[in-house]
Amino acid sequence: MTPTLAGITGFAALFLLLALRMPIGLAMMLVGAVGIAVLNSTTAALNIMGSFAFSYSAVFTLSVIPLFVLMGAFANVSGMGADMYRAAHAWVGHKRGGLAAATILACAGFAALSGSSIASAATMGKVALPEMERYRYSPKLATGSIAAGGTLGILIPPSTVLIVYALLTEQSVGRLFLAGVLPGLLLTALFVATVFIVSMMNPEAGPPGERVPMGERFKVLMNSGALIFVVIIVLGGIYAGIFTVTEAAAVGAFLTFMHALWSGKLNLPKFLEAILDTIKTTAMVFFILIGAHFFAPFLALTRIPVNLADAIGELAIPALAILAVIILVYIALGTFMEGFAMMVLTVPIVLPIITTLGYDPIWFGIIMVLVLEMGLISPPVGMNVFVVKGVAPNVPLGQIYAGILPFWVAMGICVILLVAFPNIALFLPDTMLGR
Amino acid sequence: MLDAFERGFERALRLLAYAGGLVLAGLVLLVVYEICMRYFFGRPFRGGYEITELAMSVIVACGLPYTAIMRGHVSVDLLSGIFDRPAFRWLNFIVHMMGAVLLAVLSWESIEYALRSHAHGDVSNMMQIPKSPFQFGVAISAGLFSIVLLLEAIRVIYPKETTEKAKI
Repeated sequence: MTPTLAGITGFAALFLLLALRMPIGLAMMLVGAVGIAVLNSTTAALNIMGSFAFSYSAVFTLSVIPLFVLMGAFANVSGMGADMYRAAHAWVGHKRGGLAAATILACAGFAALSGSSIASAATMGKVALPEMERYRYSPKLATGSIAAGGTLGILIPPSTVLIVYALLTEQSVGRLFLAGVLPGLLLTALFVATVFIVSMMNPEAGPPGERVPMGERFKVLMNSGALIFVVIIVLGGIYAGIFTVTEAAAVGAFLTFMHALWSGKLNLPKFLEAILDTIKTTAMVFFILIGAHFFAPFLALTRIPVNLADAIGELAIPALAILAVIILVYIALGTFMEGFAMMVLTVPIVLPIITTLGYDPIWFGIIMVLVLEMGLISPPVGMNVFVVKGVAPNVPLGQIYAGILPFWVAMGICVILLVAFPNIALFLPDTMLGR
Repeated sequence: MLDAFERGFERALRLLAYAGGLVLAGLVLLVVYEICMRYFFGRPFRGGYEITELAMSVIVACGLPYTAIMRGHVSVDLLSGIFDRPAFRWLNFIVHMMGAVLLAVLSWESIEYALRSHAHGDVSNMMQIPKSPFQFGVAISAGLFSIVLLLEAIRVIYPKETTEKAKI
């Protein structure tokens, strides 16, 4: 069998196994091991099976994943998300659509402590939805703003998705985190603008709340002091060079733990739940990563990524058109595939193409996260939408998707802006860490 | 019988996951201790890097089988409506069995790898911690994961008694 044919067969087998609902890590492991046995030797495949599970879990840099997840879990227990929401509510709640805007802002704040979109959407959903229902917000705007706001979790650092992207592409985690900051703020602004436009066009959608006096506003903001403090220590520490990313993650987990303990909200069952959630997320991520490490050498043996990148590099089509096609394919894939799995599967093939076209891998990482986020909130399989549906069981899925649509368009605008002005992502890492 | 075994097995795997969580909590304390030593006492602690690596393998190994039994591993659910029909039972059985066999082989190969590493006296760089116990841990984890998939394969053929009762 020629390597190319083996590669195509491998992909066909992989998609078949995925369609049959084999967990993605397992499917990549199976196809990778069989493929290596065919293209190299059975001994090589068996050796990989014996050593990879250990060698790709005992990795120092990957320890940031459970540490950041743990930080988010403790922040969740201590109610930092709710504090953040109350602060945003006090500041913008009196405007038309203000509660939905507050949801977006609180999501952005919480995202700086949590690396997961689903956690952000779940946390904010529980806090913000009852408030918006109380003020008779349209369910479309209410659920749409939560689902969309949640996606900020993986763009604004720390972000589990960016950490994995960094590992797959051998880029620096710190640089990627820094690259996510401005696009994260831009997307937050676009989301808030979307809320105001929607409520301007349909004044019934977001009735204004009561105006909160200035003094009260600052008082409520102070309650979010702990969150702001932790964010400054963690992210500031990384950029000032005081901590490595791993150390910052551990310090963040320690601080949110202490805050949860101090606020009196942490008891043994809550502690065990936070730990169990963290372990589950960690195992889920690592299993996919281990699977990806089985699949990558097989893919390299087929030479498909290199050949494809060469072939595309020689095409007489402008790089921008190829980039547009790649982005559109990602959006299409994102509608039915879990974002994280999609990234692990496609990066080995797409990244050589991107670098051949002369694009920056850091910048592309941010584009990819944005496009994955669009997938997180688009039908038929939008994880964030299911989370919001769990919090708002009486709102039909169709209405949630309809409410999301304007935010989805805002994300599309954000992608276009990033393509037109790559410096939105690259400015901070280039100026702070040098080229 | 099967039900009782499954319940007990799930409880055991949850305890294992808690153990992994405690290792993670220990890791947090270790890193914080390391930072304090470096900044306040000017004495960097040299073993942190490799302890973190080995701890990571324990955390992952403790979590994998529990995540599997809680169905926490990511799969693509697009065609669930079709493949949940009884007509596709045998196909689901085969998919689960393929996974179980793959992980059983992986577990076996990992044991061989750990034995070789033990025979060579493979240790970490700074603190000379033997690596083989951790490699055995990963092998056991893969074995437990394989049992979870085997259970799921059996469940496809003999669905849970409780759900049958609920139907009546």
